Amino acid sequence: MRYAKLAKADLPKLFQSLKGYGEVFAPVEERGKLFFKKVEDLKEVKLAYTRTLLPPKKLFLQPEEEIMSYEGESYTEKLDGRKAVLFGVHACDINGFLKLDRVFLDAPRDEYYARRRENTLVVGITCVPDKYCFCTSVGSGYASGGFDLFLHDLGKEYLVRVGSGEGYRLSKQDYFKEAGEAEVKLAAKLEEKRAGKLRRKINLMGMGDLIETEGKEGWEELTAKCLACGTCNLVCPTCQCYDVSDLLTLEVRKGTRVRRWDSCMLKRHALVAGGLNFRPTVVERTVNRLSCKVGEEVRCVGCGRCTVYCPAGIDFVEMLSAVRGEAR
Amino acid sequence: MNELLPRQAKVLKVEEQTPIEKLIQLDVFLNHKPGQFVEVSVAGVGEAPISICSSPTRKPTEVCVRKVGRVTAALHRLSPGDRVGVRGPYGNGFPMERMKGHDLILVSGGLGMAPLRGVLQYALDHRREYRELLLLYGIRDYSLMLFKDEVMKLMDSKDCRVYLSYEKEDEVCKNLKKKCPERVCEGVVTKLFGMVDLNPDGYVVVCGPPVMYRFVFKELMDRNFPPERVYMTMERRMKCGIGKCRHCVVGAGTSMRYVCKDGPVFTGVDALQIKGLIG
Amino acid sequence: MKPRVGIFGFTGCAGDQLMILNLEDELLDLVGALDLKSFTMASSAVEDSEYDVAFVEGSITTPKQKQKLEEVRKKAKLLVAIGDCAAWGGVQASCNGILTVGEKMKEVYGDEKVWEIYESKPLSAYVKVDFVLPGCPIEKEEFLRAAASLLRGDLPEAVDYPVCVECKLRENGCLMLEGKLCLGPLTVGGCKARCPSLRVDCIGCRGVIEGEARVKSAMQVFKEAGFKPDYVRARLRMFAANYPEILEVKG
Repeated sequence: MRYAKLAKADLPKLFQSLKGYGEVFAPVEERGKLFFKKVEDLKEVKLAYTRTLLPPKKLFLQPEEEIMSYEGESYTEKLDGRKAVLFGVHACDINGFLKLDRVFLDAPRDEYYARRRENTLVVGITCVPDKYCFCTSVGSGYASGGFDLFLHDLGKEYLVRVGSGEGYRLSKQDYFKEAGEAEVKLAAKLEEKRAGKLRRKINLMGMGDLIETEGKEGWEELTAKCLACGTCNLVCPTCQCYDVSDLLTLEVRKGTRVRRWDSCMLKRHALVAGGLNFRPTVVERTVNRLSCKVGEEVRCVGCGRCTVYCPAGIDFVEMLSAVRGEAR
Repeated sequence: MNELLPRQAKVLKVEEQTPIEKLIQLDVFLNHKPGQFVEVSVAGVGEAPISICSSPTRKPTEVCVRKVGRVTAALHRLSPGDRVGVRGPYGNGFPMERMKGHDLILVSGGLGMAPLRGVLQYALDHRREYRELLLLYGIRDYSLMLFKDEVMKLMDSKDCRVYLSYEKEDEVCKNLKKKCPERVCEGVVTKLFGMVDLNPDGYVVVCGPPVMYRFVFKELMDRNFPPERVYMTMERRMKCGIGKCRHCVVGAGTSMRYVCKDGPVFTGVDALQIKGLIG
Repeated sequence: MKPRVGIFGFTGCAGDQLMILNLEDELLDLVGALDLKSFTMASSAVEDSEYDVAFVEGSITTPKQKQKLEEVRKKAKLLVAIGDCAAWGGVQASCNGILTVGEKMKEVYGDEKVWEIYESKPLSAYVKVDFVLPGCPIEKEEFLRAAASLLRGDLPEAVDYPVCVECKLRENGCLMLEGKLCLGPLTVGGCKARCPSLRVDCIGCRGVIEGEARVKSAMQVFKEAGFKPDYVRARLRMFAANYPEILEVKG
């Protein structure tokens, strides 16, 4: 990997360069709520933050988007070719991108996701963890790839790791300086210090089998408060489920096909025409959700969102330790 | 290429099969395998996975549609000359090559006959490459039998031995039973296993309503039929057809599969491993 | 031939019919696309006709209404309930199961028997309802989309997910986490989280998600958040008192 150094005082210069590439989306705080939003000035950006409500995947797989229009039976795709920059993304969310890439970039690739992913520069930044973060337990505390630039906070300057050709071109700007072993060692030390602050741990050894064999009564107890509202899925950086609807206009022959994030905790997820539901209750849906996140493979990136934003206060990590048989 | 974008297909013919099922011929070249499915779009209504019921060896492409929801209701309104959107074919399909040189036992219930008809046509068109060809077909009554002419013709043919079970007796079924008591009986499809000799070197191919699999599979396991030689095709909500939207995912814990991409055809070994696959 | 449509109203505020009249930009297109046989709120002219689609607002509270509804049902290929009153019985059902009709009549009119009335019930208590467009009032856009489907002969796609979904898609912070009694998780979406997007807690005007709403879980969560059971019950009953699980909730 190529390494560079950027003085914090020169960050506005990088920001300007990024603006030259495309629209910049960055974490912004409004009324106590943090979210990725289009910004014009670096001053709007919250550089040190914990987590945004929706993960930045929302730029690639949009919450709700028109994917095509139709007239008669002829469909016209609506692809987006705009260039954009995601500035200030944390390691957990970048690892989330990598997991989604495997779904949406694998053949046959999803053109909507793929084009946005390709046309978007990702600039990572050191995070500020809180007590709900557990990225280090799921191997997502550090981003080894999936970004164009990653800024590690070294105090007065950033160590910049360069992860792509576009990132390389940016790092050739004169406000970047050379960096090497010393800066990487310091960054690693600081990252380790930050990781050391994470108190939350999750033990995933044998978790898939534990989930599969947990009894119905156990699940009912664990999901007693679940409202089946779908929030856990909708805030998850690795949830990929989407649903598609045709929207008709009074002009009948014309309309649009829209896709929208879906949640496996909702009724229709496994409902087939004719009325048979393959996951009729919250118990089956929870088993499916947890299997998908940590059973089959580790898709969870430990960002803590499903726990933080659950209106019923259900804790993902506690639920899994209960499945392991640790104190409920 | 945008895999989500349907291409247009003209409806060539619409034929009522039963009061709830129609056979639709489409002017579309798919180069599919028996057991694969397509996503069919009716603009303004939506898209639904429909199994292809014709063999790639025959033209035109045919789908058999049961009216169960919004999209299928709209498909039932189609007339020749209308157009629909089509994506696919998707899914793994049946391993027709691997089964060559062996007995082929098709077990079907109700609408399950639709995907199996593609297998049947394929085997008939390559008749000498397969050994015994058996069709075990369970219906509610004669009015709900799919592909009536074809099945009746096969009953008199030497190419395939047809066994038929029915749940409600009517005139036609009664006469068939009288004519052929060793191959026709009243009851569910599993009852037919008592009438056939299963060669453990053969392959069993199953398709039927979700409740049927468990009973058919148990019957086969009770007869020590090797699970890896059983192929079952599953119905789930295959919304995207390409392993992205995740609605059709089955299993729990460490074994999860997409029905649209890893299936819809699964083996008996999968059934033993994937929780909830056959209920 | 244009589809024949009738629009009818029973007990309610007529707000859903008003919503249709208020379409303004689209009203002419809509009226042009169909053969409006009856719309009592807009015109006194009523044709005796069969209907391809009948939109019915309001709850059923008198024998005469029940009879009229049954007539409409006989003449209509598709019957669509519009608004919360038609879908769930409306606000006027909020005391069902607590006070009987007799007790209510006595409270207002004393011992004199004025007329026979029923406890407020949704249309589905008396006739088959093919589709429900919920809300108090209905959503314009949803109505237009559904009308387009219905006029073509298709049943529209029903919303069966909670308001929370639309709230999250808009990246709204959760009002329940801010200590508000928000009924979003129990309530049928489709309103694009109209109220929560303005930081107003959902009052459940689109009714509960049938067979899905986790009423018991919500009661537990609200209790732990410190809300009094009486208050929670009143809130739940406002728009969906006839939902069996809500009818059972103790104060």
